[in-house]
Amino acid sequence: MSSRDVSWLQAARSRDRQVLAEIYDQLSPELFRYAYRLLGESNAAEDIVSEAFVRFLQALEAGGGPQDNLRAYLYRIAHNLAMDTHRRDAPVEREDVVNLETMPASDNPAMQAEERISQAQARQLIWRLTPDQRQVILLKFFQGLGNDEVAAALDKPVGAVKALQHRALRSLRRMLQQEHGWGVEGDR
Amino acid sequence: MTKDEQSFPPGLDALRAVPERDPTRAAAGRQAYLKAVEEMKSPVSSAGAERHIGWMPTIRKERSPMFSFARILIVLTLALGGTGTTAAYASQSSLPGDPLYGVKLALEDLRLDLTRAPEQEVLLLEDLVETRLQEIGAMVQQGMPINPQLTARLENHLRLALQQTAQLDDPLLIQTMRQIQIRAQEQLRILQQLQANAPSNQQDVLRQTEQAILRVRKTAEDAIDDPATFRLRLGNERPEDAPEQPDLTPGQNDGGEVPNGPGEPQGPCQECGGGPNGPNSGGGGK
Repeated sequence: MSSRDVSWLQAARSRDRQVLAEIYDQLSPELFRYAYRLLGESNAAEDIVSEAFVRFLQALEAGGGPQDNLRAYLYRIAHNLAMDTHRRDAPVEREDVVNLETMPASDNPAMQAEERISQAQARQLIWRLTPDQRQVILLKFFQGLGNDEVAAALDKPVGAVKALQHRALRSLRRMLQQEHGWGVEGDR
Repeated sequence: MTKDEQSFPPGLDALRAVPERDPTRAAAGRQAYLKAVEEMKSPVSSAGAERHIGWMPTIRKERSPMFSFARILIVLTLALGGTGTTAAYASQSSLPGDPLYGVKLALEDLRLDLTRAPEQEVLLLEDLVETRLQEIGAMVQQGMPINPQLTARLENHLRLALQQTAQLDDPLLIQTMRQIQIRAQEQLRILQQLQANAPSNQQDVLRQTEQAILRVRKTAEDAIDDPATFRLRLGNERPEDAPEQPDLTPGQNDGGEVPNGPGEPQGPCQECGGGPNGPNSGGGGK
């Protein structure tokens, strides 16, 4: 638990408006990216961000909410919401048209089209993992959370997170190999 | 590059690309959030807690077929006076298979039917869980096999307790879930004692009961975090630990091990780095 989270939560419980706004400003962009990576649709990602923060306020008002790790708490709520959205809308594969020109070259999938699968295909693979494995992969490799924070988000010990990561990577490599021809390079 | 990053399949890097947020949409979301913050500080009316907030309780416990019988029984008990009361009292220490055990269950069902407030019913159901545990303990002590209907009834009490809790508004739900967590802790302690004394052929039944209580404790934790999702999932009758549906087209076999389900073994991990202070403990790269 970071000292920032402690002070944020103390202030949030006393309904400090400035801090509650700061929490939103600091955490909503990364929650948006997380939701987008899960769903591939900006409007749905914005809905999830909004709903996650509303749930946070409702929980605070009811005397509940996160006890320690606010960031992990919001990721957990966002993941639950994304799961429900995906389950509801699963038959339709939606994908925003990403403006490639505005993206950094290293993040530009068109620049690496020959060696990378599409975002929609990657997302499909991610959704074939178990919910816990999916969370570990996205939170750790895409959102940049540490093992402790991922463990807090999943409410599991760090050791369990490492085991989930191991199994998820193995599954992903196997799927990539079988369905997209990835072999030796990806199978380290 | 960390060991974790090296082990990550680069084929998935496409997911790193995320478009810029729509400024209008993002601003509207922020505005709505700040408005909700304002409303937290100054409720519209002092009767806020009593206002309908869009969700009406629809889940009711199933009426037991024993209800009519129990009503007759209570009337008979009242009519017979001392004799009936004595029988009802004597039934309290009965165990499955005893002649008076049916009376005991009928009285419990009657008490449940007569309890109207969901939070009271949850407390009663938690009491009944502990009654079932006491019965299991007595049977273990007497070397009797544990009746599967007994554990099924215990699990039904747990399920009904969650359903009743879902009917409460957020503050009461959170308060009740905290009580359920405490009770679950105590129930697990009792079970551990039973497991220590039970013969090996009874351990499976006890483990199954332990799992049911652990699931309730986890559900309570999640519900405290997010009451709305708890209600939604309970309303959909979807267990918290239900695995994802495999995303396979008919006739296609992914040949992989997914989905593994929540009970997947967590064996040794060759490539996840060391312990908490190992190279990966500080988090992976983006």
